[in-house]
Amino acid sequence: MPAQLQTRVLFNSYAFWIFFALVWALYRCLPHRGQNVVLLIASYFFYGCWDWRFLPLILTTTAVSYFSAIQIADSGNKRTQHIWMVLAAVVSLGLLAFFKYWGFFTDSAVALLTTLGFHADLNTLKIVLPVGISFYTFQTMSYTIDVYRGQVTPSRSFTDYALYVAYFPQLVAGPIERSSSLLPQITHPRLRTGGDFAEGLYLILMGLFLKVVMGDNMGFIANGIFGAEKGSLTGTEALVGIYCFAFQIYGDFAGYSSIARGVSKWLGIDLMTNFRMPYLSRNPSEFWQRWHISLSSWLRDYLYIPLGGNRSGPAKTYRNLMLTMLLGGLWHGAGWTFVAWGALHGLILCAYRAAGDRFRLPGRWGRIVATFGFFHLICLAWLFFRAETFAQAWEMLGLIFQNQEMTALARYGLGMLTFFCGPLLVFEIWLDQTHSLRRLETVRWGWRAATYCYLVFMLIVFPPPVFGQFIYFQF
Amino acid sequence: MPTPAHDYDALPTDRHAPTFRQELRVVAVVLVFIAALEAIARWVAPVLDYDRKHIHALPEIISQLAERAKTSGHPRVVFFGNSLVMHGLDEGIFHDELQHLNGPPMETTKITPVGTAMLDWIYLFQRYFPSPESLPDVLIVGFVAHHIHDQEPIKIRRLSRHFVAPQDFPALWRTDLQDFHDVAQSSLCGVSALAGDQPEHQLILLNACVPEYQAGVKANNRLVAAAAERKAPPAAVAVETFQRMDRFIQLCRSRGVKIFFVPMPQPERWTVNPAAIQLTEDHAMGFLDARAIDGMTEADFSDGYHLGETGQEKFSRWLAAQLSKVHLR
Repeated sequence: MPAQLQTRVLFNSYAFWIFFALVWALYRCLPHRGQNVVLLIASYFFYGCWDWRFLPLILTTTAVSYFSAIQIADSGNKRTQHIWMVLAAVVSLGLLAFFKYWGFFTDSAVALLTTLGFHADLNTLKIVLPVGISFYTFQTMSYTIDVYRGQVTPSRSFTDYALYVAYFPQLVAGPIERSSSLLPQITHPRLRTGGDFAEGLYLILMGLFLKVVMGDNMGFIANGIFGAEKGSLTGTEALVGIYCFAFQIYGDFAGYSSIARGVSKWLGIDLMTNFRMPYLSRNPSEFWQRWHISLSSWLRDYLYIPLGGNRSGPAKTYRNLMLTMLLGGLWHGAGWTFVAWGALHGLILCAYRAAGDRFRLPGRWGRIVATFGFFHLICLAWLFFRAETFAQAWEMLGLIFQNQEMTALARYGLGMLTFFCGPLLVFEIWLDQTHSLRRLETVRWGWRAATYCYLVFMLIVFPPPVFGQFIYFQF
Repeated sequence: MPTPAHDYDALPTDRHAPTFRQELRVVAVVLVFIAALEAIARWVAPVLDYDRKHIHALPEIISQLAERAKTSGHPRVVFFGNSLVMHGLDEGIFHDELQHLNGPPMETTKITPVGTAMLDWIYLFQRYFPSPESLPDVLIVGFVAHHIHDQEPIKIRRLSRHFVAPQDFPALWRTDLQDFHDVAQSSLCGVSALAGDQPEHQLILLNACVPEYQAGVKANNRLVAAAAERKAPPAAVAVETFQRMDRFIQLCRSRGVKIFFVPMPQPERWTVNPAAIQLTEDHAMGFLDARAIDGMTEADFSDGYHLGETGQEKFSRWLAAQLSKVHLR
């Protein structure tokens, strides 16, 4: 048997924490410039652990955006600046389009031509998706656009800029940082504050709980139910599968973001908040201010507002909302189910905009009903996001209204949801009452210790049956 | 350094953040809590379930067998395997039948930790039969197809906690684990009952807290396995290999232990890979085929896999008849 030791440098792996301990120890011994060099080498090593072949890709994107930004800043000519900005965008989006969407578009074209009666034989390449490409592409694009807009001064240090693009805590699954926030923290010496350790610890423990305990355990059930053969599920089981996926994707992605922020906090660098109790939202507008905040704000600033936002009348506002959400859906994955997910969210946003606050439910119970109802709308969208085909999504949706048999699988799923997600929801409601993610840091230390003991207990005793990858790596 | 700024929910303030020193108290409490959990896990380990009781009793079972054999001078026979042998063989019936057939007297015992397979058996044998005095004369190894091939998944926690001796860990890491994560997991389980017995702790707690946990998880496992099978490309069907079995045979042979491999009865007749049979022949080990015992029917199985009461009696008598015909030393 070959004894070849492979390494998986994921946040939920032992290898990552050994890697981080080594990087941190070295980092603390060095002055500012040395720290940046260590972080850059560590970031490329981290990325290389996935696949060394994709390192030239990230280097190309980095170099093109770096030099384009300098050319934009140095040129006094608006037309020249425009050309450099377009060049950088074309290279970044071109690489993204080739690696992520080539297969999808050619497959779709073949399917369309075949439907129209033409014989199509396009050679579709089976291209491996470079991990994190969607995240760093958006990050480099926002940088060149901000420089073009004059909102950011370009970095003159390639090392600093390369670190901004490849900074390992957020490289492969976000948050998608803005240069206005992250770059100054890289170019200037980091200042340690008294609360860094406590905040980092909270974010890491909470992130590991979200990912390992909630996300992966819910994912195991969702995978079973969404993998079931046609006709083998009851409606209750289908519903449980959708609920489980809703908490799987939340735990998986919010967990990653939280660990990324915690790890970065221990390095003295603040990353932005990416999730704020999204399932407590009462309407779509609120949801997108709580879910994947770094992406939704990116889409708002670099797509929705440039398209005209809500400044050109209702029709164009709806068009802009739909376009933004459709592209947001496509960003998540090269598949029509992702487009449908984006379209559904676009329609929900348009409907909410049209209705305004006319149907606002008053009082505490009104808020509860609105939250419960809107959670189910989100779940409806998740159904299309997770389903492998439209046929599967429609079948599961139909089942929910036809067959409410309570099986052992359904009871088990609901029990697991309550056991793993119930305490988290209670905690989030408690946080939401003060609109603060850091409420736990303000209570007596004994309560915090008790909470951490619970998190650690759950992490030790309830890891998932199978080691879980992070879903968002594929985006 | 300029203050980082977003125009959306940006960064929290440090106003209420506890200092490093203050937070060390929290860390200390958590560490004490983990230590307490570990102590509880070690305390309950021997009585966690009937299987743990059996595993923790193995040194005593083996020494009792050695003492009995020393007194009587009869050969030592160990019925080895997992739940198939545990449920399949009644030692009382076996000895009655042996006596009835005037078979050779022998001292017997069962070593049957549930859910084990060939890799577990290699390390279990090394750990629990460390000296020549403890070694049996004969091992009767009951199995079905997946227990003996190399493609059987490794249960790292259980293997590392209960079957690998401390000195054998380097061999396990070098030979059987291919991933740094697994090596780390294995090391942790070797030293910690909390980590090593985690699946049982989880099972007990979820059984108590989640309605129909076992039935639900079985249904879900079936769905996951069926989906994986449907999605697997035809080329992904691995060819069976038997390096672990070869290691096990060589290990026993080097210590002078004779093995009889017994393919166990199942409701439907199953195929033993010819390569496995060839391996037993190459090493001059015995092969007692129990797949088609006369009179054994589906009704003799309690759950479609393990033998029930009637099946146990038929198998025990059949095995006694087989062993009465062979030389054990």
